[in-house]
Amino acid sequence: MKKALLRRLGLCLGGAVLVALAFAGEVIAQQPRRGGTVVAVIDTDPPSLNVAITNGATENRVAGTIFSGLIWIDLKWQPQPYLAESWTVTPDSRTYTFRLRRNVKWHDGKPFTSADVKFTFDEILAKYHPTSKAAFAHVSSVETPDLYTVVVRMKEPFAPFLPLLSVWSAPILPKHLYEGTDIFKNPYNLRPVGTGPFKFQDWSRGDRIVVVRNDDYFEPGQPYLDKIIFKMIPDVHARAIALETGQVDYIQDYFFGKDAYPRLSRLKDLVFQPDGDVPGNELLVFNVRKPPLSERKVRQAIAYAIDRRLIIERVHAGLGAPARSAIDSRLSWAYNPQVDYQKQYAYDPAKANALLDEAGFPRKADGSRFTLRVTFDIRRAGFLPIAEIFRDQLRAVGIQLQLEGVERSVMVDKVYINWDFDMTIQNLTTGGDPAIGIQRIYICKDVRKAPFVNASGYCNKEVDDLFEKGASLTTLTGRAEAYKKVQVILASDLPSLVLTEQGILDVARDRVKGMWQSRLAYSFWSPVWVAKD
Amino acid sequence: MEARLGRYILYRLAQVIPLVFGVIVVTFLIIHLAPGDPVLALVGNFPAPEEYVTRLRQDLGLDKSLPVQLLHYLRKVAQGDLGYSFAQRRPVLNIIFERMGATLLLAGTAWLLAAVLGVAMGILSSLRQYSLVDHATTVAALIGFSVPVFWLGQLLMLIFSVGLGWLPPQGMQSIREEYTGLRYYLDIGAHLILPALALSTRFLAINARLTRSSMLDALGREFITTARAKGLPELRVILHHGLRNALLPVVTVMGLNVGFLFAGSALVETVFGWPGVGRLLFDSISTRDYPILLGIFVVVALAVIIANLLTDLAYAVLDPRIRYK
Repeated sequence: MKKALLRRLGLCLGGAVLVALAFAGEVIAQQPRRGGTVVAVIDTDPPSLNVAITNGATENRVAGTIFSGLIWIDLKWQPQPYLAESWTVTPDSRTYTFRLRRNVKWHDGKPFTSADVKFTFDEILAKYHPTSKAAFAHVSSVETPDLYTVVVRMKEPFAPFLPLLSVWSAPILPKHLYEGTDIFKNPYNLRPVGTGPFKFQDWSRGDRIVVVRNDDYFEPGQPYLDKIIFKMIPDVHARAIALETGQVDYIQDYFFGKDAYPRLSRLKDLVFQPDGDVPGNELLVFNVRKPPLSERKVRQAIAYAIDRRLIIERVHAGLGAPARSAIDSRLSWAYNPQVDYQKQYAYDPAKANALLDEAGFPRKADGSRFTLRVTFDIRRAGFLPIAEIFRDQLRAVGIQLQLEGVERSVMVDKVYINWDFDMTIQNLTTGGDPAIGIQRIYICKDVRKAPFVNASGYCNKEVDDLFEKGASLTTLTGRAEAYKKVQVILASDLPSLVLTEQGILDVARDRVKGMWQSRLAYSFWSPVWVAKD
Repeated sequence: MEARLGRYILYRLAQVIPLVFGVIVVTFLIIHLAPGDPVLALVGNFPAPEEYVTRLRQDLGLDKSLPVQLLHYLRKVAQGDLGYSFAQRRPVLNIIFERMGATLLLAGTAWLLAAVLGVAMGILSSLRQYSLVDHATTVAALIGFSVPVFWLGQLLMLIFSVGLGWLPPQGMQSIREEYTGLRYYLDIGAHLILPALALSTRFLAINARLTRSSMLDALGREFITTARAKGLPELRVILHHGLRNALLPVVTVMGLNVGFLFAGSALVETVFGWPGVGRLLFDSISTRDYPILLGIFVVVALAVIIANLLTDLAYAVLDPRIRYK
């Protein structure tokens, strides 16, 4: 009896030990592990890796591992310390004082100091950076009282200044390698020296760019990976195949052809992550300079005539959502819930017909009213099927649509430089803040012959004032109030119809751990590790 | 005879200069007159500062008039300098030569595949006219000729890489492993099979069809009857008398195809991520990198001219009746 009891007890104990061991094994398996390689997909050779003078998507994905900004952006869109270990902002939002980390070295061994920050701000970003030049226009001076302090004084408050200081829009360059050189011809543009978690190792043209662990990285114990290989795969379908066959580990949203999603989602060893990037929108921009699109009612009629849910269902494999307003609802603090295109412009061909009649464009004998052209980048995934949906749906209300799918640089020329278009499908990032990515499409100052600004020609003083308020007020509630008002006006004037809030989706093999801890996950690789190699 | 041949080669080489000059002028004008701005392609997806755009335009020499740019370019080419890439800021010649090996390997393998397999299929078809083999070859050639190369490339990838897992779908070398010695070459060979197959299919089909009809024509001639009447072995009749006569038009087409192979490699290299000149061309078109585009056209034009010269010389070997005057 006793023996039996003992045996039973022994069995129980043995079982418990086994369970505990298995659990411990699981825990250990979840611990970050040093070593290993991740292969990430990019499209092709970027022109250079100097991301302080361009914000091309490919160069950002690669150079984001090599360079650093003063801050990084967490999952709640909040700036967190990076090269700057802390900062203070005066109540009037006119003076920012940054305390820099003291243990940071450039990849060539030289110490990183406040002089590098001042040089980059004054000489590079303020002159050349496509995104942050506008922000630095608000800066009156950058001072460096000591080696590890930077004081930035503003001419007037600019609310999104701090979030703009991440590596995406304000990477810090080494002064000792760039001062006095021609920024465009500096050889370090092609073999960059940064302060980031990874060091540039090799660039095999047309094939790959390799970065390796920076052993002197300022965050102790990180990065975990030995190496990241950025493999160039130009064909979007071939990228999904490379993931399926195990050649690559990670495809960032920008390079991921979503039509492969239904197929890939059936594979067990893949992880899909939404929201790993800044929200972006697809828009239908109207050229309001000439009739019939100069008529607000015509633009509204087109909004009623297009069923935006079809775009999500048929073109984007169910990813993303029909847009609700000029400001993406994912920028929740700025979005106005009173504005909802899905209600205000719910698909209603009858209403579209009525508005077109009212606007003075009755149907002719053949049933048509007028002809429009829609211009778009033919190589952009999804734009052609979207244009085809437009053609069918607009025909139903008597608008004949000609599709003008052209190559990207031709599109830029036609739409943004020559304004030679009726409507255009565009895909624009919000930049994470209305002052960065959204106002440029609507304000009068940006009706200029330059790419990715206000191509529609729409100009409304009230809208301008509200956007200016939104950018300069110091409290979030004050900013939100201005942006909420502007959305009401834009929903009625409709210089552009925002079509979709694009689904953001990264995909990686499940052995890749620790990704997606930042809103700009593609440039935040220090905590990433692999379960086994 | 040899002196005459030497003079002929020199004469043909002298023709290269006006031809390349013509290629440069025409492509220069077409490229520059096509819409699209290399500066705007360079600065990314956000509105770049105007001073920056102006500065970049001056820097690249794009602020000067078209004739001045053309003269400047011609002067440099005459000195053997194909200029600097707008996007990469490196000498064009270096960039093209870095990529040329990969393209020569791919296009050369595809050309050989098309030549050997195409001619073999053509001979087989002609010897068994209207047989099952002949019909099968005809249908295969028709399909091979008709399918778009990028579609075929993706299909091959799905079958042999995703489905069967036999061959790598992408690139020229394994991504994770670094091989040396024999394994290095075997690795490249494994990566080469699918793109070479995709690129060669169309040319293989042309060669097969052409060889078939040309062989049928040759085999019906009187000298074949004479050869057979002399009691020559059938293999010798077919290969020595039949094929040698039938090959002339096939060789002409194979020579002409060199240019088309380069054109086809732009698509195949893009689909398979093969790091060659074709992909460089494709990328440079989207970024409007004029110097690289012109450089590639000059180099490819030279290659095509040389291939045609070699084709003409091959006539003399195949057909002693041909004399160069």
